[in-house]
Amino acid sequence: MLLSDLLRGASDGPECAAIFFTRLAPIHTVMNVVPLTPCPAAAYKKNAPGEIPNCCVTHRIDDKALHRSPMPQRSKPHGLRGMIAAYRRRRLSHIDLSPGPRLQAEICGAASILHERWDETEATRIVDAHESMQGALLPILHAIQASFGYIPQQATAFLARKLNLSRAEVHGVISFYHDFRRAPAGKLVVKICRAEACQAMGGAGAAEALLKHFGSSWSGTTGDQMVAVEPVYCLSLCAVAPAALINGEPTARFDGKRLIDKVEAAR
Amino acid sequence: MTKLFVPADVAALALGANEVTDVLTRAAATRGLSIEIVRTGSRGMAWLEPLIEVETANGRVGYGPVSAGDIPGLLDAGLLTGGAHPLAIGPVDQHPWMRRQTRLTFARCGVIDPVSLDDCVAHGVFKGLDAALELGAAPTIEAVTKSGLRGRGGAGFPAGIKWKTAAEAQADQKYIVCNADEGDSGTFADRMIMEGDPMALIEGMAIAAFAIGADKGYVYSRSEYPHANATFGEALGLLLRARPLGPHALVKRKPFDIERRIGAGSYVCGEETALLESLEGKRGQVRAKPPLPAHRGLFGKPTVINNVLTLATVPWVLAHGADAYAALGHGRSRGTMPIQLAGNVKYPGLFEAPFGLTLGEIVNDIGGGTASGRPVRAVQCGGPLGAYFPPALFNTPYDYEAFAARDGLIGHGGIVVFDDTVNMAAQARFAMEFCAVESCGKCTPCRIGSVRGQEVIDRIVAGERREMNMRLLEDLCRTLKLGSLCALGGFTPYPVMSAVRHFPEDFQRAAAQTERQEALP
Ligand SMILES: Cc1cc2nc3c(=O)[nH]c(=O)nc-3n(C[C@H](O)[C@H](O)[C@H](O)COP(=O)(O)O)c2cc1C
Ligand code: SF4
Ligand code: FES
Repeated sequence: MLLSDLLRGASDGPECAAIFFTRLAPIHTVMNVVPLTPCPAAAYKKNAPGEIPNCCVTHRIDDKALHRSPMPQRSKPHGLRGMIAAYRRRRLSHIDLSPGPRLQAEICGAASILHERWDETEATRIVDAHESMQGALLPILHAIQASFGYIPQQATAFLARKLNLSRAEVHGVISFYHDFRRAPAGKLVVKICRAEACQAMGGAGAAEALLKHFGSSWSGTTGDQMVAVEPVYCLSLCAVAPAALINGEPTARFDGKRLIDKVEAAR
Repeated sequence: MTKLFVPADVAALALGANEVTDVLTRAAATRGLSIEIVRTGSRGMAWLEPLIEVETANGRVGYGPVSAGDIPGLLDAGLLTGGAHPLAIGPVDQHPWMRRQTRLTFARCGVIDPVSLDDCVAHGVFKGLDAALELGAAPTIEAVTKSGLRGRGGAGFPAGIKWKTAAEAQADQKYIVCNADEGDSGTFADRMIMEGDPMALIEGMAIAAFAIGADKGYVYSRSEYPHANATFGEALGLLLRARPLGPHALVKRKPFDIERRIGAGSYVCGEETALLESLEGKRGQVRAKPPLPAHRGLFGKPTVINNVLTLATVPWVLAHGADAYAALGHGRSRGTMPIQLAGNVKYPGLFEAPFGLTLGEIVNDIGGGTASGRPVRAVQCGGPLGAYFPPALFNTPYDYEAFAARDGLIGHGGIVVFDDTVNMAAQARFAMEFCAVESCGKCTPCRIGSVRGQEVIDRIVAGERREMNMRLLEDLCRTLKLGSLCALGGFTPYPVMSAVRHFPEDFQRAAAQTERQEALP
């Protein structure tokens, strides 16, 4: 379903939607809207008739948590728009405004991956949504990874055909960037900084302790496919080093034990 | 109603700022206190994060570092009226660490609500753009040139000259690209601007667009920055909705549109031409220059590519005049530099000051030495491609030329401090390893030499034909320096050779140990 359908009222059930949009151009390119479980957010129609919400919400992650926790008075949730604002203020990491909502996979873990298997209709929709964008291969790949959790093998030939590129070119791009996975990730992705400021604060020791705890290795997943530990070079948390992202949630100033505790708690 | 400020900066979030906000909101509700919490960027005092500020008659009073458990005690002590408490630091503006700074680029960071247009405008956003529109395009470029503002991304190229080149190029379409791919380890200033004062960046891009006649801008950010990307996106969205100020009307009647793109975890995409390739949807491989991006850049069109800090400083320059900016600084490095203190340092964070402080002042006086309390042994300046400086060189003034004269670089302003437990041979090896991981693969010395470099260092450390391998390492570094297309390969010798030169004992010590071990029966 497209956002435009949703706004036109094609779906009138009380649904909560995950809306991904691209950017602030006059034409908002909508990638996909996924109807989800019933949620009071349907009220947004009343509040923003015909307007396109200027954001992207991966709402289903924990809209319950949103309703549970008290809001600062200033930003009482008010329709979808208000919820988005409130949500953003409080749980920034669950919100992403990128063209490719990579956070689906990155931040929410595999639980939010929408398509387990290669689905050409979905991929077509993603490519079509980027039609107006120049040089859109990277945003498209981010969107595919967000949707499938990784870049399925079939994507190479498909994208080459759709974008009028050679397969080698598409493969070259996918393999060049560290972010693009060619196999499904673990349910929990732990990205640990290995760069200098974190080294200076004992980051290497903490990382080793975590790897040892799971009997895993860099870029490998644990035996049960649950946890993947990935190296990154600087998360910009160098002033509170060492640092890591546990499914997108930043954590810092840890030693081995505290890191293990945090990852176990997230598991 | 009492106004409180809690940073939503990712460094504060990593230390529990959201929990603090939750607990504070709930506790205030239970006690029937009327409060409003504004989420700001960070003031840059990372050791005090999460730093809560309260608006009082005496200005904004700070408390930090606050954890969720401190909230009841703080409220008991009269948090809302600036009451005394062991965590109180007094008025934040009067804090010695803040008072020593000259905050131009970061004047609003941590102060304003970055996603409230009213707040931003009340604090002077768009004054620079207004000044530029009044001046006209050519005088705007002249002002930027006169201010002496140099690129803050690393190379330190004068911003005005770059703009002039692009302005003079004839084309139907020009682009402004903001390099927000802050990959250097030990740096976080770009992220702090995107989270704390994104409007400054947008304004800077609009001024640049007006000056060179571009109608489209791209911001290329990192996938490692979901929070900064969200805040920046929200700020852009705000401008769009607040019609007369929307990106389309930012520059009078001439549309200017900004699009945000996200990288995919490649360090070399921070190099300007690799970044352009990546924006075009290709592998992030470095292009040979010429042609300069200002002549043939993105999609073959004249393009100005500037770092976040460069662009975010431009509005100040125009609002306050080129001379005011040029009056600050040291030698040919004019204005201020947002210095980022990180690693094993007692007072880490962002410190903006005019060029000219000595490295020792920065590390020891401002940074307070190491966090571990042990002696400082080495500091790496300018990211992963920057040299390691020993305390013997702490008299070096913080200035592009002075650092270059000592085989170092200022780069993007990062300073990473190490105590005496650091093994410099391991740091040298890491520099090679990083180069190997991030090489774009175009030049052989960088692609293959970096792998060989690791092996050579391993052999030196193992005590294997040390003399010869040392010479080999030096030779390899020379080849890297001369035979690389970009600074990834070209500057990797800086950390490696500075470690060899200033800390030779680490290469020998390790070797001596192994030899001794070998001598055992
Ligand atoms: C390997 C490499 C990485 C770089 N990374 C960045 C970066 O992360 N951010 C940045 O602004 N400039 C980076 N640069 C410098 C850019 O090539 C370019 O000089 C800069 O974006 C120009 O903007 P400025 O003139 O405002 O500094 C990098 C250069 C190299 C060689
Ligand atoms: S030096 Fe390395 S990163 Fe730079 S162009 Fe050559 S191979 Fe690519
Ligand atoms: S060096 Fe680890 S976060 Fe920057």
